[in-house]
Amino acid sequence: MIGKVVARRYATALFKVGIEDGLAEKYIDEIEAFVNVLESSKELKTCITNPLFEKKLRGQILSNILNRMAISDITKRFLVLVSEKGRLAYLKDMLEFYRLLLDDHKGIARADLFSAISLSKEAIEKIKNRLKEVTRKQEVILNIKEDPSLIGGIVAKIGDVVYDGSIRTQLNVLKERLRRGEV
Amino acid sequence: MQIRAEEISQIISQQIKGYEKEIDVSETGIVLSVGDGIARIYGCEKTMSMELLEFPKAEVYGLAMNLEEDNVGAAILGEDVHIREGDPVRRTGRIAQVPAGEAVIGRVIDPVGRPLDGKGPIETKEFRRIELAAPGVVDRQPVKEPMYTGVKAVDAMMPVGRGQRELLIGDRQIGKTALLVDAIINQKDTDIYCIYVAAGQKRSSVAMVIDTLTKYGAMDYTTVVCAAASDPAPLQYISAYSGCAIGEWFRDNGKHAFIAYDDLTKQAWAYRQISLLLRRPPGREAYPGDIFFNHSRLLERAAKYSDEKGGGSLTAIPVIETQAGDVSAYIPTNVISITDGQIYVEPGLFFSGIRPAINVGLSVSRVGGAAQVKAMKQVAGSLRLDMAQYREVAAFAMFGSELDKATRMQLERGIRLTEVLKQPQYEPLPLEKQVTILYAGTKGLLDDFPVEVLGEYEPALYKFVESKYPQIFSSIKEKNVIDDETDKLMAKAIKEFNEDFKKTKGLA
Repeated sequence: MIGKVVARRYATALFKVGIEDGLAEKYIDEIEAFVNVLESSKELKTCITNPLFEKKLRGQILSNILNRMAISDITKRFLVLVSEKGRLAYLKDMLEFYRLLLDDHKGIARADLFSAISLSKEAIEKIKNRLKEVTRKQEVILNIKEDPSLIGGIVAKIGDVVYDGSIRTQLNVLKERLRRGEV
Repeated sequence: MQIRAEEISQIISQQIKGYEKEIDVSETGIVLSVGDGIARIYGCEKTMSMELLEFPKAEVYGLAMNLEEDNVGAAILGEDVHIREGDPVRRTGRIAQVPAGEAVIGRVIDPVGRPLDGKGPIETKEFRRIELAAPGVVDRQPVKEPMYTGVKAVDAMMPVGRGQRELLIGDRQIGKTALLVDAIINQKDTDIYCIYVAAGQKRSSVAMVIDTLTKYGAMDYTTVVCAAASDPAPLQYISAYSGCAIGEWFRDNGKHAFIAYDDLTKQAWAYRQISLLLRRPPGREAYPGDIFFNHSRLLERAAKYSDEKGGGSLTAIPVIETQAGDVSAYIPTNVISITDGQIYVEPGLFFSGIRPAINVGLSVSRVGGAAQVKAMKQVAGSLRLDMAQYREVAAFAMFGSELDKATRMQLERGIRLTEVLKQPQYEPLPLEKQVTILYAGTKGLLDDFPVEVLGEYEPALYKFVESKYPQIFSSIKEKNVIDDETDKLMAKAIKEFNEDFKKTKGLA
């Protein structure tokens, strides 16, 4: 749980730098690349995050990797700082928060869309426009998944808010009301 | 509620017609961890303090108690065994509330308003939040009307006024609940509604209280809020606030209500449990830092409204159970300092046959005479003095030394008054009867009788006055004062009865 707080602090700090020099989007790509490298090899991840290994050694390995990657100085310094503070394990969370901040800045909303059947292009466009209205954002990026258990209709999830227009939920509501004897 | 088959199809068809319109918008989160009746939730970021959160899969509700930077701590109001990590959680947007008003009178409900008495759902549109700020200074007025408990010792020596908070404190099993039940029964012919909050009590004892109240017709104006010992700690914790919210409805609508919290020790235990599980730092006796505020904000809601506000009142008698008479423990001292006085019951008195076992020396009411009518003040003044002198000389008498006549008189008077203050359970007395017997006691009209016969003397006296001098009772009842005429009549009547009684007992 502490991880979330830590990740938020570091992500906000880097994001501020990114906004100041206008390279916020560059940084996210670079960090994502680094996270991918880290995730690709379990040994590598262990050897630069595990405090059992000597700190100096870990720093050397990290800077060797960073030098081979073509990334900006700011990102390099950021990653070295995170490593020195022993917070590399939370890098993935930082990336997530950074993305949220960037989305918010650019006016993008990300939504999970569940539908019972595969949707046509027009339908998706319609849903997008409606969600743009609801969220008051310029752009909505949809992550569409099919879920036959909904029976019909769609469920859109943006952040914490769920817009549930599925038949499954409506039937459940109906069942609940009949049980309580309300109309 | 009965539904016929055709009604069901009608309801369904209506639902289907309205089907397209409904889109269910909800804010959700997921359960990070659950255990010991506490769930930590990620998401639900806009949750308000004390908001109800729904766990749809387990079909229980939680109470948002900790709003932290990255998670919400919720106390689960039910069984937590069906909740799993990763389960969805929905905000309801409702701050915890209970049904209030006429609909709950005569009902037994749990702290969130679900009926426990099998009399069907509580049909009301009126709800009150369980946590509300107490009325301000300007909206109040001093306590000035009495709320009779029907117990001689209390009404005479530590009177409770409407809007007062009077603590009832003592060890287990020496008649604290009995005193409360008597006080509730005594409100039968008054305009006072009663609320009995059972927090952390055994279900069997709660059932017994309800049974007694029903038997004496007291359930007609009483609400019982029950969170028994086996209920989850959050329910026990909020039970006092729920009961108070129900009582406040009467207060705010210009009516009068009396609420008994039985007992706040167990409510404090429940709150301690929740606080520790929510990882709030423990303080003295492991209670959280705001345990004082827990009780003070609750008892501050008992109040007497000003006439502009309707003049309603909520009187509270909280109960604190002490361990081996230790009133200097943490919770007892806290609550003593909050309330306007205390009724202290003692095992020693209880087992020596003085019941109710009220220690009149240690019990006080800071409201005092303001909560008494003139008639009671006329007899209670000398009663208090006599009892104080008696306590002083009683210590000497222990040594069996020879005493002068004056001291012996004080001793004899005290013994008789102590006897007179005894009272059987479930027999609360109206004001006029209390005044009459105390009049006899304090004027020395009982000094001729042996202590053993006083138990029989009292009911016989009431019967005698009722049949021969009914104007005494009616005059005290109507005028609330013993005027000169009544004074003379009372002296005459009691003397006359004394002669009669002596003859029937063969004492003359």
